[in-house]
Amino acid sequence: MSLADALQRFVREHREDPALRVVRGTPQSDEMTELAPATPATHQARVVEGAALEQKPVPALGGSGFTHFLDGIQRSRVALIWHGVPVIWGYAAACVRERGADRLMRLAPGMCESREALIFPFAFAPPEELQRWGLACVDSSPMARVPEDADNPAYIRQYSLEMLGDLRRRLERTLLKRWLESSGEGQWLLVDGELPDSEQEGGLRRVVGLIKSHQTRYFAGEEQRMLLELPEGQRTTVFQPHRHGYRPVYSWYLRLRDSSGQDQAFGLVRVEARADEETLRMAGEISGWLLAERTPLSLPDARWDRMIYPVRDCEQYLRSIAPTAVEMDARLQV
Amino acid sequence: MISEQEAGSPGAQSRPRLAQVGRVVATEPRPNTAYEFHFWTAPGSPVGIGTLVVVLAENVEVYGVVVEGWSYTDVASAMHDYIGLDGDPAMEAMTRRPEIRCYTAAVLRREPEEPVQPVPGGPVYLADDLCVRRALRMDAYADRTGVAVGAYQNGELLAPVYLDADFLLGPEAAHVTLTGVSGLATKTSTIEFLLQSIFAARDDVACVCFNVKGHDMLFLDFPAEAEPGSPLEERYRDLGITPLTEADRTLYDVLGVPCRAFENVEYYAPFREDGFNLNTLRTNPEVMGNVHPLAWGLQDIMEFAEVVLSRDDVDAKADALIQYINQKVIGAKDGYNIGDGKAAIYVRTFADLEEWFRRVFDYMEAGDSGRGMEQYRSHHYQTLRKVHNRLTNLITRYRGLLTPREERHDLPWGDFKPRTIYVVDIASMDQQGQDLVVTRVVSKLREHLERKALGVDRCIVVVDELNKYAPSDGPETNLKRTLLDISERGRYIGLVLFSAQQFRSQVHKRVVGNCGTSIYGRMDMDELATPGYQVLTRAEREKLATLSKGQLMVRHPHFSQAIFVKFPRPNVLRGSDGVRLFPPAEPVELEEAIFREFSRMDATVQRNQVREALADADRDAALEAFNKVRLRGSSEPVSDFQKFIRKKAKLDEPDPVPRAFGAPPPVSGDDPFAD
Repeated sequence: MSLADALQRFVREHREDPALRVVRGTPQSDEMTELAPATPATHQARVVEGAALEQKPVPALGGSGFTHFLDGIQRSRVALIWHGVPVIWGYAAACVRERGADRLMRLAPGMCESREALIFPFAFAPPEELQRWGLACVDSSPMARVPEDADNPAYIRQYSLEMLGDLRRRLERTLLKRWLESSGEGQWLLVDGELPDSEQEGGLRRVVGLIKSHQTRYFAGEEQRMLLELPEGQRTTVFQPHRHGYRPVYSWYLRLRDSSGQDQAFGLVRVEARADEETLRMAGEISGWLLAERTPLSLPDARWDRMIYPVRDCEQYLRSIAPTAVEMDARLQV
Repeated sequence: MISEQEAGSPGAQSRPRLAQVGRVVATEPRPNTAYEFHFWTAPGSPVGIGTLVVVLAENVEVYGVVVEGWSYTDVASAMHDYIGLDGDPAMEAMTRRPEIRCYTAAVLRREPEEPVQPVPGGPVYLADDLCVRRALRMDAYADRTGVAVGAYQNGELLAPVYLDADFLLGPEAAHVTLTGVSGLATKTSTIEFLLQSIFAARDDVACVCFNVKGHDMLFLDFPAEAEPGSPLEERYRDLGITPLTEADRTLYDVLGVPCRAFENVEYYAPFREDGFNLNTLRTNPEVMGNVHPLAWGLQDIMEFAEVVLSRDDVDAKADALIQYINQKVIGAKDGYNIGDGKAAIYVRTFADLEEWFRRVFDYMEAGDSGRGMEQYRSHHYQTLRKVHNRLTNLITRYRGLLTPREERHDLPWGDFKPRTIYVVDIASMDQQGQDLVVTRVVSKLREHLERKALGVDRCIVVVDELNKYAPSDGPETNLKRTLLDISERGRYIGLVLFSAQQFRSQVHKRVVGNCGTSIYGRMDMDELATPGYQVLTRAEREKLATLSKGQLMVRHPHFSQAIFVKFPRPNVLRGSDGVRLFPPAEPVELEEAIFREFSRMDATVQRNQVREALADADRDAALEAFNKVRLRGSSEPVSDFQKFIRKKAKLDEPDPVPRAFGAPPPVSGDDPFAD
């Protein structure tokens, strides 16, 4: 039985239960940003290509070496108030899509995972009755960073969403591991977002991360000005960002599109790859691949200036198999 | 019911597994209904407008025909694509956008029939031969009353499509209307193939075709290609006459129709003005064996006075006089006594009628003590003069068709043979003449069929350019009324109308509405824009506008939607090839015409025999004698011809008993022309 079925049955049977209140019509989100925006931060970085951060032209390649693309989505809504605690219905999914010789995207075999659960702090609302009805529950208590505010409904929601984000990242890591185990020479994976910490030494070979948001600053002053004014088709030299507690990666900025008359971040992406000599050698080539991925456009996605089309394809695929808002509303209308 | 297992399991039964091509999809903007559903397919699926599909869902199977298709990608605006490729159409994007192909299918049939519910989601399969039978409900009649109209084709599949004879030839429904642009030979070819198919399935049907233009239907008894080893083989080859293709033969095999020309065809054509050469393009001596004159006399057309006389001519007084002549004068058993003291007159021909009028005028002018009579039997002198002018003028107006003499050549009323086509070639006649021929022939067919005295149970009448004879607007004519009557009542008596026209919208709606079966070839876009075609989807209309030769869209009472089929090129010689193979003979002199005709009757006839027989004969008498011999046939044509000439010239013994003018001569064993 799916979680939606179980939830529908549970709500129907507990209609008269004073501990339960059904919440209908709350907005859903594919990303956490709406409810839990990333916080701006500043981190250190060390330039590893040359002596200083510089602009470098990217050679025009006209082709791309990426064969696989990984992305995930998450959806959430406050579904219930259970014993006075907001219970988040969360759905997370991730997939790897493969580009064939015909340049069409398809799901790579066995490369899709999803998870659905009710997320709330078990400390403030007992999960047993929900679990008895077959509802998968996840405790968001471990995410609480401010114990004295743990029962603040706003924090409860934020921690639950962070827990869902954590679930999504775990699914992505699972798929990444699976891909690393099954991929062959000549296959390259592009991951939407930062590269996760690799559990295997040297395991992130032929994997590239593409970061579209720039909440974390690595350079200041003249270097920051220079990278924010990168012309179209140019990259910075490679640097190693500081990632506390994680294995090191190499990174560089790349301007995918002309930002004249646009925001500074228009068309600006940050690329991550394994921290080794091969990355230093291939930074230009990988950048060329990413420039080739500018077509087709990802419109009408709002982030089309930085999002490459295969990543949007992953999201489209995942959305097509995700439970719909209409369905959830209907199931809660009992 | 086909189970889902049956459709998908290759080893479970002998039936080949159905090919799945898509899945039913329903969205809020485009929901499925009980009569229409949508499905998507893989890009390379052999699905198109007109494809038959079957949806197999739990406990229900739904058959449909694709009526609309659309595809789209995820590009929201053409501008996005343009910008993305830097305005360079030759540029290839790294990733191809997925392109979805969706189709709308109209429901043809569902099993079980009840309850009628929206089409459920499920896999969509291409219809196979058995599915085609079920989808079109042919399983109920194909083996009993099926008449092949063409084959449904999808890739390698060629599935015969049958019409139900009970709905094609009556009594449940009847009539076929064919619409298509001119010049592609679709209409004529369709009719020819359909007739071949009907004759293959039924042995109680004959057909009358009116050849209204050119040489379309003048060589139905010759095949499209000569039999190997036949005398015509080399001539066919020399003229480059296009043979049938292997695909045509395959279609014949699939449809179970013998691939051969019509075996029994009789041609009828009026005379030219000279009264003995036939006014047709089939005058080559090699093919004249089954070409007959069509010549009618006074009695044949007087009952169609309102057809041959214009409405302005026939006022109430004239009409009364015509009725009087019809009832009291023509064919009066004991002759008509004018009252002038002379012998009774027998009026059977235009010549007799002319004599009757002359005597009546003489009588009136001499009457009332020489002052002249104003009225004759309540008919005014001026009315008599007017009707006399109009009736005697008919011979001139319909020269070649109407004969002033007694001999008449007509279709074999009462002796129609099954599986025989009677082609009436009226292509060279003017509109008025064509109207008269079609009206009279159709009326006679109806009359004989009503009495069950035609010789066959059913007769198909093929009328091309129906929009000319039964237009949606214009005056009410006798012909139009006749055609309306056939379309409304014909199915009960076995009179079936096969009509063809370029513009169906211009045909009287009652005629079109009564046609049980409608067939469409390639259509003109202007015609398709008329309201009558709005029941078709835009895709169907556009497909109709681009149909190739041999493709048709068929609507039939058993088919709840229009079906596209292919039919083979009929195995008959095209008219254009026919006139190259058998060039029409130039009109000949009377002597030559008589020699050729008599030679066919008796191979021993010599030219000098004919010349001698004609030597001293009056031309009119010779013509009359020739036509009589031709009409009745003879094993000794020259001898019979001479006897008639002598009789006409009164060279034989006079009749023992004096006869009234025009009275039939007494029967004599020696007289080859005695009635």
